[in-house]
Amino acid sequence: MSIRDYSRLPGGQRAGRDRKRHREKCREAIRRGLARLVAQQDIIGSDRKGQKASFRIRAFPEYRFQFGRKGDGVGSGAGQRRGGTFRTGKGEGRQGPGMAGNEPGDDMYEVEVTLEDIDEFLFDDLELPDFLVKQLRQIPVLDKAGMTGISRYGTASRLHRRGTMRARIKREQAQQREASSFRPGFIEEDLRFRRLAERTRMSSNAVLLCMMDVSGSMDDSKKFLARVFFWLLYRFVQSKYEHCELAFITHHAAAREVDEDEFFHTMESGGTVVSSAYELALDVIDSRYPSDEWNIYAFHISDGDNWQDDNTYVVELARKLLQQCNLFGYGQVNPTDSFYFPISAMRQWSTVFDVLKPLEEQYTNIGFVKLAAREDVYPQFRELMTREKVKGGA
Amino acid sequence: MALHDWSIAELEHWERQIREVAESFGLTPYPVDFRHYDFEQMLDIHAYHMPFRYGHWSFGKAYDVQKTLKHFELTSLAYEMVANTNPAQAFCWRDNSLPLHVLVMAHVYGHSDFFANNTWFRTLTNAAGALDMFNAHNDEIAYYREDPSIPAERLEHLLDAGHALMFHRSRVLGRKRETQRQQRERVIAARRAESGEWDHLKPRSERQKPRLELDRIPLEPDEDLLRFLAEYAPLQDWERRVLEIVAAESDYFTPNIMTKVMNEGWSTYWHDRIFHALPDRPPEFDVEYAHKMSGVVLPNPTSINPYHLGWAIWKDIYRRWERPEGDDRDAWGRPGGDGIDKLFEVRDTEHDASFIGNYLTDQLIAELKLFRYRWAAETDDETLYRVADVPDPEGYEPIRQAAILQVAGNRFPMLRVLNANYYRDRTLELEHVHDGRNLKIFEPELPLRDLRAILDERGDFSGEAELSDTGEVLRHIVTIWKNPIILQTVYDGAPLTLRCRRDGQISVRLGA
Repeated sequence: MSIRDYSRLPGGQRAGRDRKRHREKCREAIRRGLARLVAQQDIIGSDRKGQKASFRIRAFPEYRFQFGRKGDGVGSGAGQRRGGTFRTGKGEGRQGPGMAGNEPGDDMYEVEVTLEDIDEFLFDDLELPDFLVKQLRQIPVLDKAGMTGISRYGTASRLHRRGTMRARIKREQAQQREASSFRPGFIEEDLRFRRLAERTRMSSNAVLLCMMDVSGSMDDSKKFLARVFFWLLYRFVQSKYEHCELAFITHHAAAREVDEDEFFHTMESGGTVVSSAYELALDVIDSRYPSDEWNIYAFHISDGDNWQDDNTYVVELARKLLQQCNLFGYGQVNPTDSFYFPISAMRQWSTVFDVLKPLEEQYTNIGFVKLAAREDVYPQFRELMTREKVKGGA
Repeated sequence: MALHDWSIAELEHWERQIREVAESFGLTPYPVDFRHYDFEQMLDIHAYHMPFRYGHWSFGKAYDVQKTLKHFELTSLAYEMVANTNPAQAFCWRDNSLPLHVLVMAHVYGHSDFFANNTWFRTLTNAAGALDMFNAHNDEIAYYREDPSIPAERLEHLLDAGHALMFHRSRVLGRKRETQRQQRERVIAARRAESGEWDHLKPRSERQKPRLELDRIPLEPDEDLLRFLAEYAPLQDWERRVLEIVAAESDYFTPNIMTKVMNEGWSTYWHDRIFHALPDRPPEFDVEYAHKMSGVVLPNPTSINPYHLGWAIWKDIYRRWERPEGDDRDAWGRPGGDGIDKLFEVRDTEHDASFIGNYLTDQLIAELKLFRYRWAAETDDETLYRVADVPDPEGYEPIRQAAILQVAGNRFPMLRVLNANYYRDRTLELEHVHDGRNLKIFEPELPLRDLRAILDERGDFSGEAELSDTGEVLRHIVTIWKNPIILQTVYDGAPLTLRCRRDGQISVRLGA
């Protein structure tokens, strides 16, 4: 019978290795289930600026023979009557508060994985495709001042102790100990300081121009697919360039530059004139992102409708964009959540695609994606980013 | 230490008081070592359940999951954990307040008394040697982990598989495991004993008994999957040892599972009585006590809170034997005054299922407002339940039966090995003994009608992603057994067979 405080004893980190192993297993599972995972609302919703944004996934399951959900349960509480119903949220109400016994319990809870981890899973093995690297524009930028070399003058905080010591030894060796000029210890002339210098470095800036059709036919599910795709593209571009900016352009009959929130949440009616968006994009590029300083990624997602008379002009503007951009892409959403949706139906590309498709023969920096279901987005994205390699290999 | 409003000396004072009061009631606990830990250490103890335990990722997961939940304040840290050892080890959170420490110490003495006296603990565990056992297992697994000839994944898979089968053990207490030879001798002797002196006068059809298949393994269905695999699977010595270690630790934890409601109820009942019998306690103790106690015995609307149900039943037993009224007095002729003796008798002999079956009376069901519900429907983030029975004369028995199915061994499906050489190619035949509840086989759950449609259309259920737990456990067993497995079960009333091939491919068939 004794009472002792063990709380300040060292150790107690035995869980470290097992926690690490569990996280590894989760990461493996994430990597395997990536396509499905990417299209989950809660990742896409997480903060794009924040480096610490996180989302939750299910802990790695431990399988057991267990009962399905359809069995009986016993609860307690007043006011129940036969045939009445009640509901609970998922995972609620399964654990009592307070004291615990010492037996293994049920577990189907969640652990956290940060957004950085996701980036790593998504883009780890993806490089900038060759056709983009060729045009990679590098701009010299002033880097932070760094310590380079040694100087005889400086402030005490930048004292170079090893250099100072070396200087003293050198001086002492050079001077004759017997000579009248010999002075032991450090003297003013021994002091050495780290030198600050400004460095220039080649840096790269990128801008992602997101263009989307917000006419009445783009419903929420289509917009969601667009959003997932833009999110992926943004994370990717951001991970490959030092500095990445975003610009959002919505269009129906007329185009407008908007902020992110508006971009994904406005719904407008009216006809569709694609050229208006391209015109505005060219304006934005000219005024803010000159193409000799910026790597420009322009992507346009719509459901394919366009005013027929506009098509020739669209091609003309697309050519201009292609000359300015690292990548100009067009994505067509045709969402259907059914897995059994016949493939042939997705092949029925409508006008904008038909109009832009021939440009592929002249330009390597044009890309097309078709988005039909959530699960398609990541594979389509990968295909876009790796297609040049495949072609190059053939 | 300055953060606390108590000193070790104070705790020692209260601990002495508690022990004296507990002994005056007739409790006979093991002595208790109280060990104080900080937050992280408590998480650690909760993940591993013991101060020493071999490493496995599932414990790391338990740690992280608990930490996450606490971070979002979805659950609070448990105030204590007690290990069934002699002397008992109580792991207490250092940051509990003084009144809470007093409550916890009284509660711990309740557990310790239960460990020392309940027959499940006395039979299956060796309290004096428990710490040494866990320590030795820890060393042994660590040794295998260091051994360069043992692949780390294989060790991990074996532990995964062992944990999956951890609680599929014999449900009969105290029956020694027989060897194949002992079993055979017993079966032959039993058959001999069946034939009587005048059997030759009976018609032939009555005399003829089914042939005994004496070379069948196992001779009788075997519930102890873990030990069966350790004995008969083609394993190396170290692999066999790993399964035996898991089985030995499972023996240690089984009594906790068998007596969860009793054990927690007992400790709650006694900490309540002990606390209120403590002399000279300051009034603020009672305030905090009432606050914490109300949290501990808070009834749960969708499941059984063992603290609440157990406490209520123990109180009821005491009342019915100490001051019997109505039928208890008149029909059963109880004289009264036997409350404490009855409590001790029940503590010593029962487990949760028998405890609820014998002592959860109709009146108590009504008093606790228990009801039975069934799963009705499910959406993405909500589950809908339908109330099936409420406390009224038709409802009592179904509610009691449903409660029994939630506790002790009934929390796990019962599986048993029927034949280790099915088809004569070492296919392992398993049977799920269906008690009205389906195994969790498909994810999401699939009505029989839809399953039949899929099987008719495709000939087989081949979608790997849609098979959940049961299929994964079969794959675990295949890595041990290394030969095909057949599982017979019943799904929504129709016989269903799962077959797992050597390579882990699973096929589903309706019919036996």
